[in-house]
Amino acid sequence: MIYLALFLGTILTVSSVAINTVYASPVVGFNAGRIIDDGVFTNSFSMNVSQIQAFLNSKVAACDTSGTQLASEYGSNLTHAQYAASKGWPAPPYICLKSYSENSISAAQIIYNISQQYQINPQVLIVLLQKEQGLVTDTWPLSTQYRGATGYGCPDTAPCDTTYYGFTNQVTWSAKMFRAVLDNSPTWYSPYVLGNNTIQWSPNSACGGSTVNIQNRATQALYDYTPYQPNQAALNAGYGTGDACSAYGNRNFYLYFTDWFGSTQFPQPIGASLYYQQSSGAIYLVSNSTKYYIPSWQVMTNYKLDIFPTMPVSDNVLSSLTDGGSLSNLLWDTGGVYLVNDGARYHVSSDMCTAWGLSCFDSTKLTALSSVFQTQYLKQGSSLTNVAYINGILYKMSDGSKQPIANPKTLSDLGLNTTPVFVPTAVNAQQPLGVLLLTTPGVLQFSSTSPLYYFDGSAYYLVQDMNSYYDWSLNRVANLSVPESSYSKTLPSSTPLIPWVLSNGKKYIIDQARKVAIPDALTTLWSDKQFVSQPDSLLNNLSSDTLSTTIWTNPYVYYLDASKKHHVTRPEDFASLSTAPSGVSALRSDKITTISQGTDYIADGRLVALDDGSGKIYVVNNHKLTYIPSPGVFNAYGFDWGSIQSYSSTILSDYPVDTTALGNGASSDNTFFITTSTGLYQLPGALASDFGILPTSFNSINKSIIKKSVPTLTRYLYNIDDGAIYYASGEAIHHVMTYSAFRAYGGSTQSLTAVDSNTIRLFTISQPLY
Amino acid sequence: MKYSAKKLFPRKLIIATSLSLVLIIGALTYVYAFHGNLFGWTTNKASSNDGAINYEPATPEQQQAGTTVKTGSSDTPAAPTTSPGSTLKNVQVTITAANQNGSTLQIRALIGAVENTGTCTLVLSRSGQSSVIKTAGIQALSSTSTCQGFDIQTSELSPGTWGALITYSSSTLTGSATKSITIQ
Repeated sequence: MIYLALFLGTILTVSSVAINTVYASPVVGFNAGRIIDDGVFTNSFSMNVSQIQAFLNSKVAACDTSGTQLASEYGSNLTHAQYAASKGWPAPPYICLKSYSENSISAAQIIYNISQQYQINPQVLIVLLQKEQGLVTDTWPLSTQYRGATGYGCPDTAPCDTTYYGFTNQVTWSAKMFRAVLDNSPTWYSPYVLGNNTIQWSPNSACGGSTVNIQNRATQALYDYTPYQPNQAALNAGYGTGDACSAYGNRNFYLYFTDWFGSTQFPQPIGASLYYQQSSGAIYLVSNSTKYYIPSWQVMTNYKLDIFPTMPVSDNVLSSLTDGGSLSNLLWDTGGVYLVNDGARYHVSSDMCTAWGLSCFDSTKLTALSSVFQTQYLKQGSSLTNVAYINGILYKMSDGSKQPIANPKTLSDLGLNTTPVFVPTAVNAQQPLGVLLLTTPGVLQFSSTSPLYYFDGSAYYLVQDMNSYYDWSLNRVANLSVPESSYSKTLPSSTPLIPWVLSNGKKYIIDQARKVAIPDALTTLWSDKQFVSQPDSLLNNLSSDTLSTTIWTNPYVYYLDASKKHHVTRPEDFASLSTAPSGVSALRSDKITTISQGTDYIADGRLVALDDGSGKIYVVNNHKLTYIPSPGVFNAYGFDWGSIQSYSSTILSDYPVDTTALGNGASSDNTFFITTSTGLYQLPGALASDFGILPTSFNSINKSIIKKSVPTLTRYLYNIDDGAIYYASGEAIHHVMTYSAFRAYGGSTQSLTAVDSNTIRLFTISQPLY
Repeated sequence: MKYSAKKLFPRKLIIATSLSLVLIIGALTYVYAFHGNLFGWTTNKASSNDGAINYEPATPEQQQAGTTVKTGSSDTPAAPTTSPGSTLKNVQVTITAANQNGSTLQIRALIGAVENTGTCTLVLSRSGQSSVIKTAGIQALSSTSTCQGFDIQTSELSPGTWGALITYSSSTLTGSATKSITIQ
């Protein structure tokens, strides 16, 4: 049992010694030259009245208003009231700061009002009240503590009671003094300067002091108020007692502020400060005692300064700084010119200056900020290249314009580098749009309202209308989607795509996805057109065709001759048309609009009566009107009396009357056709020469006009006019004089053809046969 | 065999007591070395507030520090002392700054009393050179005062070492201080 007691006792002793030892911890982070930053010191927005009141409430749970609590903090068994009486201090009631008011205004409201009036952080005033009189934590403040609440002394010659003493007066004088130092007011004198100062450790001058480089006005203001700095013994003691040379005011200011309200540091970019001019709202970057006006929020974010708070300053403070002009995005130092972009700086060579259109050689456009800011605050980017990535599109910067790069293939074709890729902020990407950079062929538009173009890889071809689009089969060519470029406003130079192509010396019409070759005989029909060369890349896409003389232009069929197009209107005309070499050629109507239109096509073999009142009947033969001289010839040729059609004499211009009438004819295949009183006979050329035929009396006819089958002449001819019989052989016909000769030449077995004397006269007559 | 309880008892007690003493001494040493941070428990000041307001009650150290200044901060200059044979009391004068900034020499002084009428006199002297003498009034601060000056153009001085003497006098107080200054 006793061992257990001893064991427990030991543990308890050890623990209580450890936990209950109020072991002072040294002050951390106190910088004599920079106790508190101006930005924190002047942040008048840190607390509103409710927050100040709640804060004061939190620091005194129970106020000993009547002074009945024991004065144990003085090691006394007396009550506070008794202790005060023994010291000659004021008697109760003791009003705590959270409940204090003056002229019916609460202490919290007074603190707030004065903080707004002088633009001082109310937290600074709260700490001041604690540091000077302990008013924030005191559970039984004496009335004298309110009289000199901030320890602001009254000069002997002044009316102290009315102008210096009392809670409101005290806090007001303190705030006014702080504001005067912050503003570097010309009517306020300070024993300290920004720079090196001799600051004592304590009121005892024999203790000495040290040189302190005061870095900012708020720190200067604190020393104006309490002209001593904490020595090492004071710093080692935390809130506690140091040595005989220690003074605690500024140490305690730092401790209370950091314990109750956070850091005394105001974040600013390394090597510079951000000032906000209260009178105008202008923001300045201040570096090396020079102020640079920040002209826009875009410049602010470009420098990544938007992440910092700005410090409100008076005009007086700003006027003491050198005017560095407007902050530009171009900096310079001994290393050259730099472009600032998104918090980094990029070296700009002379070539890149030109490419980006930067005013590198205009000293009014360049800024020189402190070396620390340029090299430690700004990140160091790589050298500026000529490729930029803006809103999802890559651009080549060239002569101050940004030329969009249409696609990845173009990028690699141009040999441009994207490692690393430079992403300019909006403020650095204001260059006008340049021309489109494109190396891949395809069909494209430059804007929703621009015409269509075909690009063959190096030149643009204008697609003039939808006919052209389909003629050239562009619907099968890759459709390119391209970024916006200067071409949206100013179209590029281009060659129009036309359907008249000259290729390898031959002429073609481009029609409905085909390359249609024009036969030499028909080229005159398009003599008004200029045939030019067009992109092979498109021509190779088209199927080949050759134009025939018969064309179909929906809904019409035309026959083409060397000078005109002729509408083909009747089925019987159509049947005789040539469709060589590969069928009827289709051609869209726009291809034949300039070809003059002639008489409707009348096929060879058709029977025509003119409206000239002559009653003459013609047959169209080799495209001419051949007069049919008699019903006998009409019938001999097998024409149909019901097929004669009447035409206007106007057709004579295309279908002239033949010089000779229809009679004996020879067709182009050397077949002879002979009209006799007994009908029409034919004589193939080889046989005809055996007859000794005299070709002079035969006119050319188109065999197809003959509408019946024509018997061939036999070698034995019987002249019905005189009964003579002839035998054809040996390039002549011979009168057969005797029956035995008739028999000898096979006349009995061969047939005789009955002809007339006109027929006989067509042949060479040679020696008779006996 | 029966052991004597009386014999055994004292020896165990001695051993137990010695062990306890060792433990206590060890704990004290630990606490001394690690400033009371036993197993991470600490009575140090409150941790960082990240800029937020601390609504916790005041710590004992804060209360204690508050009590120390209840009847006035000790950071006030000593009261001026009477000089024998003089009607004026002696006030502490300190030259707080003496810096050349470009072509301006900034000299500042601290007077150890709250006064708003009085005269500061600055005498800059150098052997072989005429002295430069400036005067200025006095500006009261919260617990001290300062001379309303001095910014001197270095064109008035030649480069080299000068002696600066500041004297202060009002109807009730007098004091002085000296400092050596080098002009570039």
